[in-house]
Amino acid sequence: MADPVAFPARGVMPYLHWYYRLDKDGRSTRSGADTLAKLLPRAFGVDDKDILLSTKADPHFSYSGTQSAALAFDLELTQQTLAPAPNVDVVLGVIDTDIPLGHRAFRHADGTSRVLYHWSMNAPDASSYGREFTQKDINDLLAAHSPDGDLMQPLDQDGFNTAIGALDYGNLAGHRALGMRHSHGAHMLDAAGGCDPAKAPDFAKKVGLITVNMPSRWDFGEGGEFLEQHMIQAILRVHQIVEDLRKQAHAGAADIPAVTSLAFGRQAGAKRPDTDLLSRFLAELELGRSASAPPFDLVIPTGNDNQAQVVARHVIAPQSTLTVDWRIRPADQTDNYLEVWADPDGGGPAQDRALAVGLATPDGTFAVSPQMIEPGHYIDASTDTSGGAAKFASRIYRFEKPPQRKFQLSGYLIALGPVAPRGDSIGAVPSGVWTLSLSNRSDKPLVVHLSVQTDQSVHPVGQLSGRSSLDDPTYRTFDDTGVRLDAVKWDAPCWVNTEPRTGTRRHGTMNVAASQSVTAVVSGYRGSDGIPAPYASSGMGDDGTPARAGPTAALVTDDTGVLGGTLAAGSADGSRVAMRGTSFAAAQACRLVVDTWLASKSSRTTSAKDILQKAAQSHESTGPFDAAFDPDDPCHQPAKAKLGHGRVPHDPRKSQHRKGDRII
Amino acid sequence: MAHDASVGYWAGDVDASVDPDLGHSLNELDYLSPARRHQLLLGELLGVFKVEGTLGLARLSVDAKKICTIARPDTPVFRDQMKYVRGYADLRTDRHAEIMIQQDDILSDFGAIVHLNASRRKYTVELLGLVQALCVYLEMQIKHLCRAPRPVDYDARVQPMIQTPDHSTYPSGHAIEAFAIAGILNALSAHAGAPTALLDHRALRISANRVVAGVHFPIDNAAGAILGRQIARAVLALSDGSAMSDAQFGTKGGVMLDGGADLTVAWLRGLTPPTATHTAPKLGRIAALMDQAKREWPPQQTGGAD
Repeated sequence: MADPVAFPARGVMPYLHWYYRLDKDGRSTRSGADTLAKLLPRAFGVDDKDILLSTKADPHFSYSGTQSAALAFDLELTQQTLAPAPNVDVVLGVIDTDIPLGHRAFRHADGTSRVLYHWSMNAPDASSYGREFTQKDINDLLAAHSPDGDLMQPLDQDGFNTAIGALDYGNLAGHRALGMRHSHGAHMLDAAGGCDPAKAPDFAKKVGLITVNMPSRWDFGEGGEFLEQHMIQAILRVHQIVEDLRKQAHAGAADIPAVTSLAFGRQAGAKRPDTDLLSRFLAELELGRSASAPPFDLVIPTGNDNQAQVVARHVIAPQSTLTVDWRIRPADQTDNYLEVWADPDGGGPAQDRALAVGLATPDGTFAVSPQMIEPGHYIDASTDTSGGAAKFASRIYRFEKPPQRKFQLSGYLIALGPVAPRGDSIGAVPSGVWTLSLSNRSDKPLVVHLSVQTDQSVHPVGQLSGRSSLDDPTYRTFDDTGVRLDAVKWDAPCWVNTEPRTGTRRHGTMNVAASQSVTAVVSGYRGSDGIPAPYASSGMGDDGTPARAGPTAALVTDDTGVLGGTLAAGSADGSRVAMRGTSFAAAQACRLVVDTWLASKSSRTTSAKDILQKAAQSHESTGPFDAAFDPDDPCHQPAKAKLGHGRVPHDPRKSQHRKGDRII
Repeated sequence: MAHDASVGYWAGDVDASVDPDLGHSLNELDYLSPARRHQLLLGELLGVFKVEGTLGLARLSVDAKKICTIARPDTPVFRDQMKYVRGYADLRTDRHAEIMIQQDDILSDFGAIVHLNASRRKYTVELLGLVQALCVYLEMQIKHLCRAPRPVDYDARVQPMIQTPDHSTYPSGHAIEAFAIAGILNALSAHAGAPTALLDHRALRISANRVVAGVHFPIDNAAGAILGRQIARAVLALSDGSAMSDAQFGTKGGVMLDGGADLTVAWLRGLTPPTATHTAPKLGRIAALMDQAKREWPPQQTGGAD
């Protein structure tokens, strides 16, 4: 195929470069109506995507550093416009999607909102990045959508949600979940901070809510390509607002602790605390915090990719080549991405020249033999098979060298177009098993980590994203008795690893956002018997890399084997639905942290991580389950990949939910 | 032979002990079955309501006085609304069950908000059934005059989840009926001193579900909401001889849903109530039924029990 080509400029992310790929006539494959095409230049602080690709990129959207990270958008609200909140002792932030702020659980007894600040990040055009709402703005909207402005009357929920940017039927990429039975944001905010204000007026008064409604998937890419940029923006803004509230409410005394749930993350990446964009941003944010400042903590779930066959670890012998099968689903309308990272630790600088990558289509029509591509370069791997206007259909990128590392990581991104493109200008690829060739050109064994990127349809209920996976004959879905396997299993009196150290694995499926060392990270387990949730992504375990070995702790994400999920608010006010996933562990973890801080003023300097760790250890010491877990017991070590420091006790009030009672 | 065997000899004289009294007022209908009452009253209402117009314009009048005029929007308006048909289609999985039920039954939806038990509120149910039937007869004439293609006629990718009806998309019959029922129930619940905004919310949801199903545009529902409310107001006026009003939708000078907009509760609330234009004739039998229904909605007691 073609010779390697250099990126147009340093600091341009391969995902972005791929997104703006050109057709064979040199035109962008992205139309002006494409939301992301409108948003991204704005996000990068430039007016034109050509400038974006050819000259500069905002530093915090690149790999050149996040030190100068700042909001790239002109948000209108300032410290002066936020109303003082003198009654607030604790701040709970929820960064999520489809949050219904009109629910009674998020309002005071008089019907006014408990939300101090809300940012609807929808990006309908290039000139705006959603809208911000103060508590007064929210109250005005609540009144405008209540009969005669009476906040105690039934709210026109669709009207209110539309007005606040959380529901949009007229936009293909708009939010829909609040028109359905359940929404992620409703469940999260209720589990983390919902209450019946008549029964818990103190909680309602003392826990100030800050909410951010993330854009629709269309705005952060089906593969989550641009998710981290939005996440960073959201965290920064919540951080600013918390700082402002501290000044407003307590005259600079700054004694309000804050915890925020951030239930997002993409799958593919280096997954190292010093490499991925969000990891470095969080580390820098933490470094910038003074020792005396109260906590500004985040809780991030591990993710739910445990069984998706999207992660592999391989050891390539010196001067040899390994092939990996990558299955692309038929009728897939979205791009597919795979990242390959060579593990540099223990290898020294020579690793930088060790890994070469090749790619072949399922029928062998196109095949690129393993090539050592220079950092910051790419090659086209296959041309369009659909007869459309596209020039190429797949590409291999070599990431630029992340700065300031002792050993340079060697990372590749393999980007494939869709099988069934939505337009002629986007190149099509054949479905089936693609072959990835990985060559070790060094004289030492080379450890490589593969991860398939998140892949979700931009359409709210679309099913055409066809997530790809790694085909591996050694991967076992079930054990010999027909029980679904997890990364570890309880085999009394010990927890044992179920997977070999190489091949496609569950170990390491923890998402990129959770793979840093700064925040609390939580996983899920079954409340009835303490067994880890089979879908909950696993940490790396004890493979010796700097990647996270496991979560901070695990919380209940399924009540029992029969009653899957846990109950919290549905889309409509008053409804309750069961939802499952590690996100909801993050919501519960935030609740625990908030409750702890509320209960004791002296605890308000304790971090979320420490609170969760202590709660888990304390619970495990009571021997709550037959499947015991003692983090100090050598034979229990494998379970750390799923349970971290242990299982946080199930809130006894929660068990009553399944009996129909509404307990705050 | 059988007759003789049963009664014996009968010369044709009358048994003086039997009084064949069917009531002495024309408004007394209790001697009839609910189905017969329905036929009688529907026939009477259809003698008062009249639809006329030209292709693209329909006028609804009561006692020869206009109560509602609607004009069919131009084709680009419907095309512009297709984005909502696409957007709402994402709710199909979630709304499937209620959409299937609402094909034939929308009254039960309102029974989820107010008590509509067939024994405890039998006259209310009878009144609502009558109003809904009236709507059906009127809407078919209005649809014929304002006939417009359905969403599936514009694009095969709509793929409605139910069979597309043969009649016009504009205005929506479900919206007319739902808002007419909501209008009557609003009056009854207000009579009881317990008004609720949920009735209009429910009417809107029933209407929106037709967009979800892929057989209507939001603007069909907007026109239907205006019509339904006017029909309800007219029936209420006919029951007490109060003032009626004239509303217009889509006409020059009438209200209109912006082609790029969705039908919302806020839009409905923002409408200025049409000005009273004339007095309705009081229909005794309709008034009697309305009174019977109102008796099923006694004003709520205030204060605690002693």
